[in-house]
Amino acid sequence: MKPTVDTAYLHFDETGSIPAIKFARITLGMGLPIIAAKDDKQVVVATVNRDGSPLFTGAEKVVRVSRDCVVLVTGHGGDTNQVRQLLRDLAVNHKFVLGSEISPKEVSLALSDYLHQLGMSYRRPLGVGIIVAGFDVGGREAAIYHCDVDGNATERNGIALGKESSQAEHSLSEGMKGKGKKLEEIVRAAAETALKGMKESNVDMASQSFRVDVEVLKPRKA
Amino acid sequence: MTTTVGIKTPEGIVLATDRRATAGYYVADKDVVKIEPLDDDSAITIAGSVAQAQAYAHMLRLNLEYTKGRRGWALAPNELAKLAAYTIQRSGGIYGQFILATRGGDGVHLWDVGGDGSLIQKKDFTVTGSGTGPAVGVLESADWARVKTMKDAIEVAKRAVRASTQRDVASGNGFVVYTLPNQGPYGLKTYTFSQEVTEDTQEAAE
Repeated sequence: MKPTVDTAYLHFDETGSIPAIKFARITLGMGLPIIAAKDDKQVVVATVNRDGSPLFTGAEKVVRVSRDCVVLVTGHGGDTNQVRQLLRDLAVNHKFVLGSEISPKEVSLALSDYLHQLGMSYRRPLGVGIIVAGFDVGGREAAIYHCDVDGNATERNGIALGKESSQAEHSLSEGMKGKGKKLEEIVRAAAETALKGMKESNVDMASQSFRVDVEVLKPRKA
Repeated sequence: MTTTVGIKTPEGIVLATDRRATAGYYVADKDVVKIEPLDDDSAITIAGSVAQAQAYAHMLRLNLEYTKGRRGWALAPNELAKLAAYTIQRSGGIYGQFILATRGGDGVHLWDVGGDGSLIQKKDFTVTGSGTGPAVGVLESADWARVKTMKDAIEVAKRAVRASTQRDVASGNGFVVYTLPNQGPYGLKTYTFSQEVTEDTQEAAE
């Protein structure tokens, strides 16, 4: 006899939310921080990575999808691999059909379609945080999108996902309000804030080494 | 089939076709427009199977609209050209030949899209259809150093299409011209070749 499969966690509950989505958000909140912010001229992305072990290099959190687009992923390891594979398929297919570089907007729309489709076809959501960053409109206009696990894509000026992301977003927000500071410094400070929070709230984290990697992305020249 | 001509000038692109549609040996229509504007910045000529070509042009038009709506900006000229060729190649081929004119931030572009899905960007001119022989003869012998404007190109295209209508049974009845300048709106005009009856003996006596 086939065991009955309980799919209740994939439906809306009495509070109006979908339990599987809530659990997926908890999972992605356990991933190492990923951060991005933009202004008119550039996009800055940052990741917090494990460091100091000769045996472990850490997972690839920044995926270069095209000349105009990078994707930051964090959360459940297997699910992030699934996202990387999807991104490779997307980039190759786009290049093959249109011969051009896929843009952040197109990547965010495709990823969101996929994430939403999971829930509509009785599959669990991916426990991943996804930030799509780069340059739209032929590589000229800075853009950042957050692809939520529920299949929603929103445009952002700055965002942090993963462990201690609320602290990182607060730091980012304060930094972007002020004037005079370089965007790179603001993003790095936000990543350092998240890292500090991680170490303060978790004894195991406090004993481990991490490093902050920051990358500045520039638009294509006209 | 048909005669279609595409010419690129410093001012913009000129596309021209004849106006005859045939069904076997029957002239099914005498005022067909075989140039399909796809949007404000692109158009494609049709030669071959009308049903396949019309559906193909319609598909390209919808893709242009869909992409602009979804991502927020239009397909670039090279993206549209690549899509045009890829779609044919993936479908296994279309019984037809196409000339594509596109316009983007970097100016106008002229493309030859084959019925097998091939794609060739043209720097000067191209001809497709059953009337290619006579038309290309006219174009090859044109004084290109003097073809600087779209008006010049229209005159050359007119001579080329007229030549094909004299020797190709599947081309005739008139002339359609589409202009895509480097800037500004596109134009589409139709012309009918006159069918005056003149007496040979009188002409010979003169």
